[in-house]
Amino acid sequence: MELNVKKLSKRYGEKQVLQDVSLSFKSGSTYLILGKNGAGKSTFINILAGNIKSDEGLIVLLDDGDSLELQANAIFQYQSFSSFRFLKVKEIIAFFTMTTKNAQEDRKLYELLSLDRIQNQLIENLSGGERKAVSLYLTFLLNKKVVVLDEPFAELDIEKKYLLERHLKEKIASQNLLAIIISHEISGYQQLFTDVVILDEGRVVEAGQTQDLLDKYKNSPFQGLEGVFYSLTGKYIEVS
Amino acid sequence: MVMNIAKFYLLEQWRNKWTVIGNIMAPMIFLVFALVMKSTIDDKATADLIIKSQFLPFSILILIFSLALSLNVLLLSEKKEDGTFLLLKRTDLKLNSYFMGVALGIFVIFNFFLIFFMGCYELIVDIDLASMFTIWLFSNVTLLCLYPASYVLASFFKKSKKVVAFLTPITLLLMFSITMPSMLAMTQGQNPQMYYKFLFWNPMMIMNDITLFELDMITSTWLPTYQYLLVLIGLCAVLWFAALKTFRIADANERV
Repeated sequence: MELNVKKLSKRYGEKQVLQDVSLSFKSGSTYLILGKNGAGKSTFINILAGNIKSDEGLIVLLDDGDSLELQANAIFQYQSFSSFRFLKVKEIIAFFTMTTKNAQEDRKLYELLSLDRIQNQLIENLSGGERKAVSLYLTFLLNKKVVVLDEPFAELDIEKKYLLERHLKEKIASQNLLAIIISHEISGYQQLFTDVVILDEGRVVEAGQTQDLLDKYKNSPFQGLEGVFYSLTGKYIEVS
Repeated sequence: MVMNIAKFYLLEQWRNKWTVIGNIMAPMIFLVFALVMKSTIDDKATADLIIKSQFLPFSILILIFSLALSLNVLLLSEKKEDGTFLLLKRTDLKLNSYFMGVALGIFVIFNFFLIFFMGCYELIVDIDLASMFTIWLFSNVTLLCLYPASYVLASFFKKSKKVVAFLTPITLLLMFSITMPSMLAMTQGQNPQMYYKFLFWNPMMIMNDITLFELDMITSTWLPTYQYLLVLIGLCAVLWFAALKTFRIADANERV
């Protein structure tokens, strides 16, 4: 499966948020979209998810040369889950399992996100981190081939972050998913991202395999992907 | 699927009962006033007249308004705001099934309270069963007619907080355009139907006219019953058409 984005542009009033963004994404890979706040990351993934429309450009999802409908094959994880506030976590999961033919429960992810501990709590009473966990679980429950995650590690504790990174890496590889992730938390998670796209002021300034970029910008004053980002933009990435 | 959606909707409303209670507060207050008036006023005929001509019709109208419009507009705008519909779109659930399930849930809640209020009023003032049945039937048809209007209204609001501000003038327009002229006309010994030609667009007018007739407050309805039914069905069709044209599950150009 291949997702091709061609010359995507988006403007809000006078501000050009995305300009001529062209990228190609492939199954089995995990793409990190890296950029400062306001670089156009959220707009980009919201366009991919079909939540907002682009002004110009084309998005094509191909599977063995056949064009597929992106919306039917993609799932977008919201930063926080606040729907159905007066249902319990287990009822929400039952609801989405009931309404999705190919729903795929993942017991390991369920326990890793500690949903067993909060399953009898109403969404209304959950903390930000717990809502994030529900949102993340539902994203994979809906079992789509293209998965777009928005800050999946934010608000999780260190142990969970580590376990989640390992589980996601395994899951994406074993299910041959195409994963696109926005994250400010990159220190320690470089192993998860096979590829990196660096966005700055609505433009793609660099895209390539993580190791290639690390080799290419090894003389940066900062280590890892923070160093790659600094070399390309002259800016520091905000690390949560 | 529709039944399951209705079940989840009712479960949510049951747990969020203060919102539902808030929506039935006005008819509840009228019911309490009716009870107090009937027990304290010596002139029982006058008390009956006030209850039948004002309290009971107003209780039914506000119940229809609250459950068909205000409760659902708030729910729809909240769900648009928090991205629920965008998430539901990724499931195999047809949004029409979801909306039908919610409608079924609203009808269950509405009929529960309608029967409760009518039962209570029947104990306070005498209402025969045939009249109660006709009022119940028209209440449900009016609810069905107004329900799509909630989608039309929700299409104008991006944020649920704005809904609350806009519901007050809509309440005044739909409710008081009927009840105030009717009351003033009746106190002046005039037929309230003299205003109805200006209010044909308002389904609450039909509900009010039918209720007053069934409670023997007026000698005949402004239009025959079958014509009222046709008008309600016509209004319902127009509102559904408008709802399908205007309602969107998200704003495609909203800034993220």
